Amino acid sequence: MKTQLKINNPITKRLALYFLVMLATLYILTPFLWVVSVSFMNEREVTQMHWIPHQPTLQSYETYFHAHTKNLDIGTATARQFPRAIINSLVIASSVMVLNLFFGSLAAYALARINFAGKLALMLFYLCSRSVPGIAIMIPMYLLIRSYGLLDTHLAVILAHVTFTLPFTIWILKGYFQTVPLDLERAARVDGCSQIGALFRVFLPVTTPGMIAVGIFSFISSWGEFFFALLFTSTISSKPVTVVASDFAQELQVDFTIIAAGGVLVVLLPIILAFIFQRFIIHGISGAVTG
Amino acid sequence: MVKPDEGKLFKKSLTTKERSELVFAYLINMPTILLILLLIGYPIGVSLWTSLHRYNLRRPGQFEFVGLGNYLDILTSYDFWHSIGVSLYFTGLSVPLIILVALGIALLFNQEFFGRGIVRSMLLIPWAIPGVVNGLMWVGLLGKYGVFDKIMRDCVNLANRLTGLEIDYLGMASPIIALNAAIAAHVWQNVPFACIIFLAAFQAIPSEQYRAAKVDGANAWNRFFHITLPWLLHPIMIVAILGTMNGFRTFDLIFTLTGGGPGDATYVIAWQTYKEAFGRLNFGSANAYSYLIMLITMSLAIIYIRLLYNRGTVQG
Repeated sequence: MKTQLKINNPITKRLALYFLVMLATLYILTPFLWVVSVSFMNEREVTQMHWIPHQPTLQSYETYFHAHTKNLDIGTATARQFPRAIINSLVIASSVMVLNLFFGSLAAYALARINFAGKLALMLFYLCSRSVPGIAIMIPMYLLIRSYGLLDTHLAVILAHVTFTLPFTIWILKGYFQTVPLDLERAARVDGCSQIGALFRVFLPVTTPGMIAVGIFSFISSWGEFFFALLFTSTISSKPVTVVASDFAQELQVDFTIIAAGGVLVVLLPIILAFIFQRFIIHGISGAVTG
Repeated sequence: MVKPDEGKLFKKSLTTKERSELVFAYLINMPTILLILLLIGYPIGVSLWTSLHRYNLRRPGQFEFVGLGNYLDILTSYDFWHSIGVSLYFTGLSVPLIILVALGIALLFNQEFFGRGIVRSMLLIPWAIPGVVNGLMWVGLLGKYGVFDKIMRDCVNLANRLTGLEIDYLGMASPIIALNAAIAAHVWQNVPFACIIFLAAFQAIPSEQYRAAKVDGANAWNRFFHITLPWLLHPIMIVAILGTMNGFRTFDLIFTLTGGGPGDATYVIAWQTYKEAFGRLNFGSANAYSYLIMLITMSLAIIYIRLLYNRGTVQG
């Protein structure tokens, strides 16, 4: 009975809540913050196991951006490929985003607004294709890409990413398009808009939040995708940053300060995007996944 | 994928408007359909065909029909059952952990407190980190000077002192530690996604139900079990299914965190398939592996789609 009273005391309850929230936040943040912290340390300080760098240094980041440094440590060769790899990733992820928005909104419009024979079958087709594991079709895909001479090109990775992100994009956009009042579209049609015109002039402006969610999603998933990028790229002319970063796993004895800085460089852009567009992302995830 | 009632719809003749809409609908879906057929549909067919042949890139001339031979070889091999075992352990442990941790955090973050918005948006950090980088991060965290390595060492030392045992902590060189570390990393990365889904599900629970329960004198536990949990069943199912599918596909994390090692301790099924194909260049049997993975994930996918379907989401 006494413990019951204690728990029901509002102040104790409050304190317990804040304590638990702090624990949960620490769990979510500690791994990443430690890596960020290490990326500003020199190798000696890592061995002293400080939480916060006592003499913060940009030394590890310099390995990535000053190709002329005389630093010949192991891992430097990989680090020097980063600027180019980041550009490759930007090219791939932006193309994936644009293609998703374009083809995705077309397909989603048909599914949201037109009643046509085979619509249900088409939706199931999209849903199923989203569930096919990439690893299960890697060999024929590899041979296909090779036979078209697309190995080691941006296009190969873009095609693979678009194919695997489109069904999800369509799924989210369909949901957003269905919220647009039918009257709005009818009014546009009366005013002489064609069906495709209605899509571009009425739907897209009204469903901007959905478009943003979908755009950011496809960008972030393409940026972080590894498997197809690994399969289809072999030189720095097309390797995205995830593939270059994975080289650190193959090299033994690379200073962890350098790996940490590389990790931060890879995740910087997705995390910034996620923060800026968090409202859209959270709404998108919760709407699309549970239906 | 022909729908059964398709014929019925065609029998009653379509009006011109309906016909033009039908053409329009398929026309604007065409790029997506073609892309999926070419890059997913066609490979699925080829994969099946190749899996029935002996085909090794080291002997490119040889392409000999062996029927179910590759499948028989795999199903009687140690490698397959070992990797299935590792994947089952990996998925079987990580999915319940993801659900429990995410549910706990979501319950907490659903309360009113100062800084709730900021704390909630922190969830997006692990979500936005690519699997490859997550693996590298945990290499450091569990490495020689990593924080988690230190914590683990301290725990083992304490246990040794308390029980008088002399356990040597081997870190990532120990198979058990390596596999469980991979699970910890996987769980950490996947909790936020589940959390976001659960938090959204809480929003859908009508607050009158809680008020009524409070009036009836139900305590917090009763309210959780009789109101919150039933409303959460559907989202939990979805997280479980998607989590299982992701678990069986895990590749990036293993690639950078353990490379399958030590020995073959972290050879999950996706890693085993990859090694079979691009290590041994044994395309025939790698395709048989692929098909077995496909069977596992697709049967889960069907359950998932049925769930959505029963909710009426698929009808649109």
